[in-house]
Amino acid sequence: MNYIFISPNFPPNYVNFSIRLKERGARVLGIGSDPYEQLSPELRGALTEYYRVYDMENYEGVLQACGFFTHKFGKIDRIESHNEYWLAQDARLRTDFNVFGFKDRDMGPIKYKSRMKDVFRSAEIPVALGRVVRSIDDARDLIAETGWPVCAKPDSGVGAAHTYKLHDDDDLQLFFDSKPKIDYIMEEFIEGEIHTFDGLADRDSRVIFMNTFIFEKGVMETVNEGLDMFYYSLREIPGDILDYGTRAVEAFGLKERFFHIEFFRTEKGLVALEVNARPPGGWSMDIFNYENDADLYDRYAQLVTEGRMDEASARPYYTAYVGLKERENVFRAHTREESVEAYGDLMVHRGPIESIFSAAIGDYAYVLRSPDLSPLKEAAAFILDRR
Amino acid sequence: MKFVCLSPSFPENYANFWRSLKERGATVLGIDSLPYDRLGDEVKKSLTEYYRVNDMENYDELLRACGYFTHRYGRIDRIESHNEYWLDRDARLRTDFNVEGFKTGDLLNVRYKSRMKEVFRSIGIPVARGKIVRNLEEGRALAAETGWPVCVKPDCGVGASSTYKFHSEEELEVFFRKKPSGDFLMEEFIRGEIQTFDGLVDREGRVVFMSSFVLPDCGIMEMVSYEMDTMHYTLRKLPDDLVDFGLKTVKAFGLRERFFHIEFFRTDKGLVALEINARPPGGWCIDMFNYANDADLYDQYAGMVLEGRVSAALDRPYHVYYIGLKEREHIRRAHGRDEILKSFGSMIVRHGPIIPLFAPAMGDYAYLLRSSELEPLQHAAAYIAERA
Repeated sequence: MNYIFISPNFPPNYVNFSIRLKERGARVLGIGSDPYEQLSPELRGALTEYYRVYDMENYEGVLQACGFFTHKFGKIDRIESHNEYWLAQDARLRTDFNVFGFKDRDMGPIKYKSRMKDVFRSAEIPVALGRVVRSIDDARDLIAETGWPVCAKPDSGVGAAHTYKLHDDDDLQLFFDSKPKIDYIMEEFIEGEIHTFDGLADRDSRVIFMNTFIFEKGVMETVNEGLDMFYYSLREIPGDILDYGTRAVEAFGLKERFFHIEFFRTEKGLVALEVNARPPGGWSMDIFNYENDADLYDRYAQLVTEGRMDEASARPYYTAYVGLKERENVFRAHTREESVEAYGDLMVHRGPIESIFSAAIGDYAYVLRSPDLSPLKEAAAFILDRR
Repeated sequence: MKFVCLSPSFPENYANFWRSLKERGATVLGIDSLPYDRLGDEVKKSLTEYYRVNDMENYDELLRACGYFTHRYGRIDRIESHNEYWLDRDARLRTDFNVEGFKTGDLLNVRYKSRMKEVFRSIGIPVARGKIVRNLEEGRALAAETGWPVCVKPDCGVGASSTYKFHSEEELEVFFRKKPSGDFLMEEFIRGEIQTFDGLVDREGRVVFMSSFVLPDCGIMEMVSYEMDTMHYTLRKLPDDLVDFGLKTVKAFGLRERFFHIEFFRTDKGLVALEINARPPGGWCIDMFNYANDADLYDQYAGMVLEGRVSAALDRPYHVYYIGLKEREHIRRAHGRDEILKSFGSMIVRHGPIIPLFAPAMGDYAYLLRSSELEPLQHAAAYIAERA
């Protein structure tokens, strides 16, 4: 099997995908713009060959790299970055080399939030009231239905970038005066915790591994208000999340992929927020592993190379992610050393976060695990405590 | 424009395609199993690069060759051989490199005669009654409807190879006793001259050039089976029903930016569709288009690929007549070659031997004649083919 890994050294923990794929017998071929010497020795050991392009944004260069691999190794079986930023380019390459997985024509509902909403609706999964607004008058018509506040986000965009919460008509005016010339989708503002349905789908869109994270605060507020990040995983997947989640995986045609689906938990039940056709970011892959005492990088490699996966253990642990903003104006009640001393037995991993992710998930983070949830919440409260 | 041509030196006259494409600015890239020095000079001059594979039947080698070209030159724009035998392989490569043109999924209707029949039926064009027969009983049942003789041919096959005409149940029984593998289609035997609808369709599906050959009396099938001479000629005025059916057919089969060759029987009751080929008619046919129009269809094709249009007036000022003679020891001719050239030299635009591969269908030695009138051509043809 010829597996092309796009940007195999990013993020650093995804190097494990390449390592496990190689161990499972795949030929892993890397394409990236970093010099070969900058790849870690582990990654270099996993890659049969690395093709360095000058600019990953130059599609023609990446296409020619895939041409080179086709010439040298024959038919390409997979092209994958597991990275939101390259999803569309991955699909384009798969289209141009007729490779299994999402093609250009499949990307609409993943890329555009408006089309995503349509797919959720078609699967009878509730979504926030909203649509693309073309003008301020159009927006006011919508707001007449939704009421204030509303949430405005690029129809095609990644994560919480360029997303705004608008409280009144002045905010709306300001938004339209300064908004970039791209389509924006406007929605009623949904109050509620974010609960996720994450996992891995097999080639027939069956969910063969699953996980639920509970986010105590919305990601958007975390980014915009400089809050710390705290989320934890559940040992039991709630029935409604399982039901909507598996339907969404089917409806979006996710195959042999990790996915990350976000819902709001409201008083009236779940409301779907978005589908991501890649693993949840940051350390989530590693959190899956701690949660299950398993190696999901390897399970994925098994799925790709064998078409099946050994049963994962049924979440013996709750896990929690505690990400701290370390800014000059943030004063902690407890030092890092004190936190480790008090709750070190729950900590399975801790360390700094790369600057590219730190806006969303903190500058320094701890992963905690326990068979029970309450010690995790207690530890998180201690670690997060501010003076 | 990066144009990959497979087997660029076969047939020889297709070198004109590659030359025209290069002249019009395309980067022409060749793949074949011949050593480079065995390519003709014309082909060598046209190719920017040649990738030699060991075996053209080994798909992986072709895929890697296209990978090489993608690496070296960027995205491939066209992959083409204009050859019936390689239709599937061309389509598979186009699918694997996402290249414009027929992909694997588009090919079934032109590849399988049974599906072809369905498409013709769906647009109201009459076809010979028939279907796939798996055993003698099914054949017998069908013959009870159609009557004898019947025509049996491979569901997926090229030209008239492995095509049979059976006059009785006994003959059919012999066939089924040692039937080659694969599905066979059995049809009522249709009498009538064959009229073709040939031409070139552009990227939007518009027919930008059309022509028609008439094959008098008998089809290729009989010519291959018996030692008959081959004759066909181009029409100057295309019958309305032929144009109507032809255009509908091109549309229904979704042909784009290709030559096509569609065969009909002209019967007492009108036209009956025989088959469609998503490639130019073989042998000297493109040259006949050229003589019939005082134009260069190789170059017009290149212009259509590169500029999206044909520029020549293709209004058929001439009839062109093809006479392919079988040359066997026991066949004696009434008139020698010198005598023929002396009598009809003013009409003869070309004459020469046919390569052995095509000889069973096209004759061993051929003459092309042209005139604005049909009658003198028929007279000359009768003279040339006359046996002693």
